[in-house]
Amino acid sequence: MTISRRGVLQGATALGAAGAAFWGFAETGKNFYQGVLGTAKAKGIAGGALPPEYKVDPSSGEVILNPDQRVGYTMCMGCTSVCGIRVRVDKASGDILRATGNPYSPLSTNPHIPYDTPIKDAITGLSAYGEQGLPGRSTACGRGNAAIAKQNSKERILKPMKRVGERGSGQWKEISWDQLIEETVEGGDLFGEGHVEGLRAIRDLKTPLDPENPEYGPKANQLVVIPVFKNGRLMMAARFAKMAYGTRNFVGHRSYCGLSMRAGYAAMLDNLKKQPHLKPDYRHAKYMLFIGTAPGNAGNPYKLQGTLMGAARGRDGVKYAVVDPVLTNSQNHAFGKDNTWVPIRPGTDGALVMGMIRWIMENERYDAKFLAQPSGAAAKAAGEASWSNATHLVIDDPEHPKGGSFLRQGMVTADLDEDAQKAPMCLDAETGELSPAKGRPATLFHQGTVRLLDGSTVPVATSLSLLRREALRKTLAEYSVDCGVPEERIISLARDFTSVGKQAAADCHGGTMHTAGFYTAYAIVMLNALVGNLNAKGGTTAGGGRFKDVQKGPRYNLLAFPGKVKVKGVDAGRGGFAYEKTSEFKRLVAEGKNPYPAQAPWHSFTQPMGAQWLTSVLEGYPYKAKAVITWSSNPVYGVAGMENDIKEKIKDTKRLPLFIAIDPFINETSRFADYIVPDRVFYEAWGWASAWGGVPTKVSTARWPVVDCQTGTTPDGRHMDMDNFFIDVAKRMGLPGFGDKAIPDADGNLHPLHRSEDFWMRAGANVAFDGGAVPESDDTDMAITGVDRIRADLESTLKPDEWRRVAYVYNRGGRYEDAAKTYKGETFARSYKKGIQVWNETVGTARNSMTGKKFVGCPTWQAPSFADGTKVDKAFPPDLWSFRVVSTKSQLRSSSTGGNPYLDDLKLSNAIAINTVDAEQLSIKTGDWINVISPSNRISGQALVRQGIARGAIGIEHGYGHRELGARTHKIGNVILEGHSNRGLGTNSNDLGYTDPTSQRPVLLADPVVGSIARQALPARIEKMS
Amino acid sequence: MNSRREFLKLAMAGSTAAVAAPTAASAQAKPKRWGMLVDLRKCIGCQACTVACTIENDVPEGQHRTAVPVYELDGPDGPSQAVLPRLCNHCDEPPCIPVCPVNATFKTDEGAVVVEAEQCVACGYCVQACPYEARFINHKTGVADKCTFCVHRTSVGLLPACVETCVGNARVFGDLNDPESDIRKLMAQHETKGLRPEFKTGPNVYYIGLDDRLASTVAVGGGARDLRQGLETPAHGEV
Amino acid sequence: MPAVDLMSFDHEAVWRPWAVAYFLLVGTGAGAALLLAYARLVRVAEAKGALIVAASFALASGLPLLADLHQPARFMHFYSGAAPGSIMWWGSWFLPLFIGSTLLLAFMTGRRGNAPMCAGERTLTMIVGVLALCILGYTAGEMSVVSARPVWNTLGFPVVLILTA
Repeated sequence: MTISRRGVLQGATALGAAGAAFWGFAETGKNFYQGVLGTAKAKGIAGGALPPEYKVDPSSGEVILNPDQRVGYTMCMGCTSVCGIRVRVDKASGDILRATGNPYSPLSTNPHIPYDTPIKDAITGLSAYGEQGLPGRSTACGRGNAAIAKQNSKERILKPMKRVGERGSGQWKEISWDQLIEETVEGGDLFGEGHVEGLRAIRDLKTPLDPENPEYGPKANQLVVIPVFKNGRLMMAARFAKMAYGTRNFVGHRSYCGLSMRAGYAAMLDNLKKQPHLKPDYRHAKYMLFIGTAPGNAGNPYKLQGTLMGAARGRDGVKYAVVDPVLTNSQNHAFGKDNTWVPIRPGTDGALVMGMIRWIMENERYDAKFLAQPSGAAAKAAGEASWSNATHLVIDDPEHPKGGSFLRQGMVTADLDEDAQKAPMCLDAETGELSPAKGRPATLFHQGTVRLLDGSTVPVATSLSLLRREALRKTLAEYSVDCGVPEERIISLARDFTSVGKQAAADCHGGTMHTAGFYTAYAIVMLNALVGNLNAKGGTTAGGGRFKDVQKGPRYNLLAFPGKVKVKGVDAGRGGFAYEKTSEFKRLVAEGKNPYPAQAPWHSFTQPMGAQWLTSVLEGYPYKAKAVITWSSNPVYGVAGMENDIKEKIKDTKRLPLFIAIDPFINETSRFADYIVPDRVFYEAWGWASAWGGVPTKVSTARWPVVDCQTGTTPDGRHMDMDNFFIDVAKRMGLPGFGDKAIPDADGNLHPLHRSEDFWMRAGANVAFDGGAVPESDDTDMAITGVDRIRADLESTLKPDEWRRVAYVYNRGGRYEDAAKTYKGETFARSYKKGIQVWNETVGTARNSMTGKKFVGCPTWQAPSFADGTKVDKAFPPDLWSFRVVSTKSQLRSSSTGGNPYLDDLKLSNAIAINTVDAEQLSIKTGDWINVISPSNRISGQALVRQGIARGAIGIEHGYGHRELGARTHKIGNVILEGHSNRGLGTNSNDLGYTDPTSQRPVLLADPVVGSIARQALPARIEKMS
Repeated sequence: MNSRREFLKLAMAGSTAAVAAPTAASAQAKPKRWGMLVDLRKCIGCQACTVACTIENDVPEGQHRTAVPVYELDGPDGPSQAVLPRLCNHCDEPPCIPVCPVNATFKTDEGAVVVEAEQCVACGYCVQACPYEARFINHKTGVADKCTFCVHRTSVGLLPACVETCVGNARVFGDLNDPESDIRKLMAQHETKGLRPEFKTGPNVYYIGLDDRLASTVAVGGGARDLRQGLETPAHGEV
Repeated sequence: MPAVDLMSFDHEAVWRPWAVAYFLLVGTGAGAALLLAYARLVRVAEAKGALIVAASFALASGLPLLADLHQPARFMHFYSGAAPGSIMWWGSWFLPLFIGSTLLLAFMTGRRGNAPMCAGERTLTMIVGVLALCILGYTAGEMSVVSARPVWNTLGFPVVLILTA
């Protein structure tokens, strides 16, 4: 602890300033006055404490409720982990008093209580009775506690707003709901700047938006909808945008958040479309390796990982290492030597991991028994919990038309049925003969040739041989030089990782968001394959999934309706579409020109690239947008380099004629909107969410208004929000899937969709009935949890046998499978069935759109590069650009937490962290103001000098440097919404992002393979400010 | 409404009358003696306790009854990250109590050091006397304020707000007089230390994994405090 | 290498400039009173100047002390109970006695003009002197018993405080 001696000194100095006397006496007078009048606030010994929400008898455990308060269970959105929370509300004022965890939710409790626990018993379980509340505690993190300040924030937008000045000018006027709907749907001369096409005119599902490039799809694709992350309300927006309106351009925020990680896992887990991912089994792992992820400090689910890391540190025999340019709270001093921090040069984790793989290969430390199983059947026979394609033979000739593909039985054997033709080939481990992958082990390493049916001979190699070849491309010494981690360290990490059997796990996340991101992530997650830990207790899990909610369920189908549109065409960010399939490519080939490089990168096997959408549509490649709708989304703040690229272009109404933002606040993106539609904050909203990962049992978290919504109401009395905006736009346009006959039940009868409740309560019916119906709630429980406040809506919306069951689910803040169902023996009960792809055929057969070269289909080390393969270090040599910037995740901040008084109170600004030795060379001390200069921009901030950051790295904590969220003044009609300069303190490392210099058309710097935006390892220089 | 009356009765017991109203259980058994154990290995420094306490106890901006400083410590294997949740130690020999000129602060029967708000003249003497910087004059209430072990909750069968929301399950609250309590069992299994032993205050907040460098005045060579002091200097950035 | 604080919390000074003003004023007052007592004890002088200083500073010192209380209206709490363990409580008695006796002395001295001092006045002077010692003792002790403040908690501190007074 530090003792302040400033008091005495300050006092002495202040004495000289006798002028202060007057002020002091004024204060005394006030204190005196308050004392005399008895207006001093505190009474008794508890200070200003809140009255407790309930009381639990210490001898019987009986619960006595406080009739002035209620506690309801819903979902948090302080970050993206979507935890279950309990929200304590003052009944008289309707104010939220405090929020903590929901004991039924596995995201907040370890372990969560059985789902059938009565509501009152759950309260007892949180109390001091029998000390139950210690192991039974259900928590919210600092951010989750603080988030309640959002609801009553003075900066909330409660009525629709329309800009009156130019875009971004901060001049607005309030308009009516009807005017909002009319103008956005019908268009017209909305701003006195000429005609603007409305949403009705843009929705043309027949005419191609570009006749020269028909693959781009219909004009309707020129509506671009950029929503928030998977927050439990996404499907309402998806229903409007994709299924009813028919635009291709609707996607989440993955490409700027954690796409490298998701793509790396997706390649390994053979599902590039849905991009599942794994999490370590924190409860039983003996060794964990975190690279570019910092559980307990950040990540998703942030809080649960923190709880489980805490528990792991309390267990005997657990070790872990955190590889990160920055030391964070993932490493814990008190835990001692069993957790180590491995500093590394930003962007070079791939070198470290390929070095580890090299050592593992050379020393045969891999799980040979697991890797030898070429199919699920073989794994089952061998007692393995998963299988891989390590033994499958790949056509090992990039020039061959089938290069990078697996050798399949149909290529070597004639007259087979379709299934048999597809069977991948391997060498039987016992006989050595070429045979289809079946129920027997196969040879791990083989490189040779195979004669195909057409008589030609092709070189082949097993997936594992190819991985070994990639790993052996560089020596350990070379890998060490590239990443700055000593060889011995690389070896010790590899040894530790391969010393505990399947009870080892490796994970990564946002640290891989750089221009070597995909292969880095693929390599990191491949470590799991080498120890065969998938589905194993103490290994890794793909999670337990969710109960059916909006998809076809036991009661309703909220994703199917008469007239549903199937979207077509190319994503505005050129994601998930091969350049070679475009008309542009074909034209160039027909003209005899070299089609490479493309005008800007295309990424054939990734998902739609929402992070590039604004850049792309403002540039017009592949095409322009006529309207953009953002919803609770802030790419201008959150995507590296975005603001630099678009801040002028977005003001040009010819580039983008209509921009609607749906948001409870004005953020860095919605500041540029033509219209802002008010929305609910999460305590007020409807929805169904699930864990992104890390929970091995089924999770469905309910969102329902535990407090009254504060936004204004529509003429028919509904609260203004995202749901009702889309519903009313759809109804005015006559879109399918909205209005009287919109939602089919299991018997095919159609039910109406006029308001949020119509959609989300029916999704709740699916949750309540999926896999067996939950019991019905009685009136008492509904009164305790405040669900009685929505009882009338439940009764009028749902069927008689549904509503009390849905109430039962809302009473518990969702539906959660019991923790007892986590394991089945030594494996996870809910296991991942697909095989691990040591070689991914889709990756290995795709081409780089800038060079035309095929990608390597297995993990490899490629230093950070631009889209055309030019090394970043070559363009920005380290002797001139001696630093690489990393964005470090904050425990307290998210992009949306700006202006939260409780969080501001803890840390008002971030700093620019640099290593002690670097600082010495530059004569920089903590507190000095410095400039960080990137190829695109410069930012200024205070230096924080520490040993806990790698040499040559600059660490900037995310969530600061806001320009909005209360930092800037807005004028709404005649009302001034005053900005506060201290809301914008600190820096945002995304301001240093830049566009790829090797791309002809502007594109934000991204991974060359999958297009994940590079917010890490950005080149920079430092200058001390004079 | 019957339940309201019943509840209020209890809530009252939680505030002024707590000294005179031992709980039913403790009337028969040995009286409770509250203590807290912080397993530093489990703390992730998320500040959930800090914020929850602020909200639960309506602690003003810039003041804290509990908080979690985070330090980077030097070591033979490189730097490492240390967290130190801090709160009132509810000492056996609290230096803050005898200095009070108006007898406004005292220990409850359960051992919590508390301040009787209406009696306090807010002279600040107790604030000066505490070696843990656990006390302050509350800007909202105008009287001496500190952690009460959430007496309004712990006296009605609940846990302190910081414990309820401790993400790492690092904070353990319980009865030091009960050998079967979780806190006692953990203390039996692990070496524990208290802060600032040189003051011989007999602290009732114990730590697992406390580095001696954190036990007393921490030698700080720069960091967040310097940054705060220099924050206003140059104008920066466009806002 | 010393630690780097990555997250820290500020503690404002609880005794505001008023406390320092009080210590200075009451110290000066008490010092003057001591000089006065000494002068009259050894009969070198009337020491009216010292008396004026003692009386005016003693009177003035009450104000900043009250100002430093965050609950000044509750100053009566000092007298509604006994807290003999607290040096400040002793001070709460010394101070009004000192102020009162000094003022009374000043009144007596002023009223008699150039007439010789009566026995009562002489006794009162000695009482004032003793109370001045009490004031100095209590202010110094008040701060030095606070072991939480390392600078204050030294043997030399009371001496320094008295000397500066």
